[in-house]
Amino acid sequence: MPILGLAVYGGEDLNFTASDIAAIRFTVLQAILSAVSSVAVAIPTSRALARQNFKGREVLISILSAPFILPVIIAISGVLFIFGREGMINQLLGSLGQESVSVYGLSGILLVHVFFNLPLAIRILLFGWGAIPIEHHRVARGLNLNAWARFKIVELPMLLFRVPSATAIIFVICLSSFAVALLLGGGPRATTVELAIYQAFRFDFDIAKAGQLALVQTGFATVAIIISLAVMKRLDVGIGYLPTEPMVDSRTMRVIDLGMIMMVSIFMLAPILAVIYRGLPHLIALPTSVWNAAATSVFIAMPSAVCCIFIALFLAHRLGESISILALSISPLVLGVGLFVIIRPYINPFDVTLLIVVLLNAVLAVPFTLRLILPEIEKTRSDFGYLSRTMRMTAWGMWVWVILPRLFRQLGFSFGLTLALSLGDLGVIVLFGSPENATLPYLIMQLRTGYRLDTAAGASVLLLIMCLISIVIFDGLGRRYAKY
Amino acid sequence: MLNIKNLKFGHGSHIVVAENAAFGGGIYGVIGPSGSGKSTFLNTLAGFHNCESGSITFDDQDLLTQRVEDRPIAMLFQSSNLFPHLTIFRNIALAMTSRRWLTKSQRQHVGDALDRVGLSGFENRKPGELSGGQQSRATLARVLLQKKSILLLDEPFAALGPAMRNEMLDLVKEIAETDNQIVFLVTHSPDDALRICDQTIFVTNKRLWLAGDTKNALQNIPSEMQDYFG
Amino acid sequence: MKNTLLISTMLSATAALAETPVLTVYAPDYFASEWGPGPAIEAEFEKTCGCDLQFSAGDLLPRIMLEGSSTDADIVIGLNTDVTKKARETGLFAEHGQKNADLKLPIEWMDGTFLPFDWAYVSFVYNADKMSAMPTSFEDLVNLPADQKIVIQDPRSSISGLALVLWVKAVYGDKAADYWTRLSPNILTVTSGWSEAYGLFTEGEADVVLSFNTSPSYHIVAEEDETKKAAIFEEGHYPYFELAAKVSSTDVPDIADAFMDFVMSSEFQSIIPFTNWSYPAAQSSDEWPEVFANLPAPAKTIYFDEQQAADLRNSAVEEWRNALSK
Repeated sequence: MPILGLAVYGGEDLNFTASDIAAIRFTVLQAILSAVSSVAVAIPTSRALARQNFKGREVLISILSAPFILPVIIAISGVLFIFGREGMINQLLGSLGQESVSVYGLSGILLVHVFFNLPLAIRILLFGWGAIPIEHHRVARGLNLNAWARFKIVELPMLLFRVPSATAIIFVICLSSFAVALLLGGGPRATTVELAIYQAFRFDFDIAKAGQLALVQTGFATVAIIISLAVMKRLDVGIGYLPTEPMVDSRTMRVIDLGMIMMVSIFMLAPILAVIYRGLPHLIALPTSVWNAAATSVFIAMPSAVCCIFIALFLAHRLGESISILALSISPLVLGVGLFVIIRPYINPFDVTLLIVVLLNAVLAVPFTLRLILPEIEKTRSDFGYLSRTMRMTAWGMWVWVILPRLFRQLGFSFGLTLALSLGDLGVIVLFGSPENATLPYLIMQLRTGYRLDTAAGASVLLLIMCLISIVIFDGLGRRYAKY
Repeated sequence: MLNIKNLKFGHGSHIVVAENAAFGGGIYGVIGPSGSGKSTFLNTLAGFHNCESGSITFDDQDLLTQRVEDRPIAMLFQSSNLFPHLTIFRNIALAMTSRRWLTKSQRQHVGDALDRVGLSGFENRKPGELSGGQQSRATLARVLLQKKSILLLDEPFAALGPAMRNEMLDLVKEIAETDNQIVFLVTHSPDDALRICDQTIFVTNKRLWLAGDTKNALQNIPSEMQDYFG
Repeated sequence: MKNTLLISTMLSATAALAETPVLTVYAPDYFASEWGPGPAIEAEFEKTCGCDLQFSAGDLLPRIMLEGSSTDADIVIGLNTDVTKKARETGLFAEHGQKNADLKLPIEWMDGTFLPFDWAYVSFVYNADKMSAMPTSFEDLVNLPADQKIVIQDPRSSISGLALVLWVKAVYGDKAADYWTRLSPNILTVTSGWSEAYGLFTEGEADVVLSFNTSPSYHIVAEEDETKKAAIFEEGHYPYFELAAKVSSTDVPDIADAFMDFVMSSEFQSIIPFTNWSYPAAQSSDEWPEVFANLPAPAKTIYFDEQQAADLRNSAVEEWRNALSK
């Protein structure tokens, strides 16, 4: 809706320059590659995680969500620590007499996008593996099917069901990527539509153009969603849970699986550890304003998470999910400005800043929540629909007594995720924030623009810890209260 | 002949001790309260669970050293026995090969199996298009093609109505008798047991034992099982 | 007795609060933040104005343009000359009413609407520990050893990036596109804003960063680190002025005028160096803190006024983009 507001405000002429076209082409290209890469890595990783039950598996999965929730610039800083010119990898290579690898360029963009989105892809697919009935595995083994046949018959159908939507979501996220693409892309070759929107709006104040570019962005997102809806087969309606029995008893597979889990974990955790390493010394000396900002962040994030759950439950059907994913594709800048334009005639937007931030954060987290709870809802409906009709339960009753309790696990995780996302949000708050009500990421940004990078590093660690805590807690709560 | 000796199975705090027993051809009902370990027993025989200790041998071959796929065992579960995205034909053909294209004689075998369970003509349908009873027949057709000596049935007909269930049970009996298989049937219904099971195995959550002839066993219910039978 | 006294005090206090006029100042985030000049300026001004100064942070120009004449802003702080043309065209700003002659800038200031309150030279900052020789010209940058990399900002999203592009244009004129092509291999990457670029520099990823010649002052004062230095080019440097302006539609014109006077005052100006890390515009160099006076500074200033900047902007940025996209 805000996009339409902008476009209407702006005008009709479509005048994209050559640089705009280049930006569009590049944006779509890197988004596709990023999405495909992320999912490609996620498939074997989530499979390994689903199959091997080791102590602390669930905690590891929670922690691995970290890259997804951090503000972009903090995570980039961590990634560069490892992969950058002066990063650990290159230092290692240097001491071994090898050439250093450059992370700047398309490969760098992909690397960081995978880093950010792998947690999401893994989560979506993880529950998918658990949704495959264990009987299928057993039947396949009993029939002495070879490994490839087993994969094709037992596991591939689930993948065909979940992979398209996972890819679509990540594609949409990467579509509006901005700072990452530019910084790691190495230069204007790597311009995205988002940057073009940025320029159109902030410098040229060409709202019409900004609106049009935003429409292009959303257009691509819509195409992606439609494709993924079309490809998805209506097969899988399983409950998501982490299987506890090994599905294969081959020792080699166990080693390979664990090896892969370890490698991926290192890849994802190393930059996080780098962020901690850099910031820990400064954690002690944090000024009070940082703690205040942290409190503000929590104060905003909690209602956000609650709102998100409500909105998600309201939108809990296929169409609703498509709508919500679309919301992801809208550049936050456009969203903010659009809202600004629409609201302004009635109330001063800055009076209701906090409210807007809470709502926007909630809305932006809805697609992830939906992706997690939808399969569960569908399954419950198909399992209990007949039963509840015979008991003449109202729709409301069905929701409260039947569906909701089964959602606790997913809702728990979703709550934690939304909380963490909101805590780490920088896009929305920048548009509507004010220094008096600074949230933690906002404060970090202020520190960075004011030369105080060390303090910023310390505050980043605080933010990271808060995000992790919220995820781990709610993941755990969700698991504990899951009514299985 | 299937022999179990000093067998203890289960896991954690829930270990079941099985009395030594020998099972020859015939149908054995496995009866006990929910969660007592009936399914676990079957899964242990099949190799999906490891046993705590003891041995299982079949015709003097140690089953425990064999992988699941090598054991002379075919198993049917309560649900999800068929792959929903494959046709009935392919589902059943999996017993012989995972390839798409079958030789003429392989096709013949599949056709015969379908005939035997009364499902000729259903080759190209998907499981979702079949009724519960028809799906059960399809699974039995596959079992036929597997040609294993031991058949484990973990309440595969639980979701069927009484008439259909009886039909299935009779079919099982017919197959078992023709091919002289050892069949273990987990059931909650004493009527089912009486209908086709020659002997009965009782399972509480501590013990498993072969109680012998079904009619006798069900008339003289041991004290441990009183609560269950009521 | 005591109660009524308490209540009446509270009542009169709230009444007083209700009457205090509010001066709304739009300023950039770094200005209004706790570590910027904002708080000190607010405290100082409120001593004498009898008002409540409130900052509103965010994107200045777009906001003003979106709000138009119904804006709440009384003062706008933080614009810079490369974008003032657009701002002026809105007609939203009034004369600042200060004496331009009192400004101590490297160029003569003629504008009656926008008032500079601090400034610095755009320059490259490098780490003296890592560089064997200090670059003293644009050509030196091109001739940097292959393993020493520069990071700059995108002129399409960053004001300092735009200043660089205009600077290069001012120095090289028609040959600017060619210069960019030659410099391109030494550029590590381009960031969307100053803070990302500066972060890359301080974290060691880049050896040279586009910033301001006053940046080292922060490191010297706050971190006691003298290794970061600004490169002074013989071609001359482009100055970067930060501007304040009064909004015509202000509802508190007297206070707004008082604020503009305040900007020129030594109280305001002395707050600037150690909070905004720039030269104060209304103080001559002998009034600056020692560390600022000792900073290396260019001998020559080259400058585009706002009209030239506006005219050249698109083509200069396009040249830059083309050269770096190859």
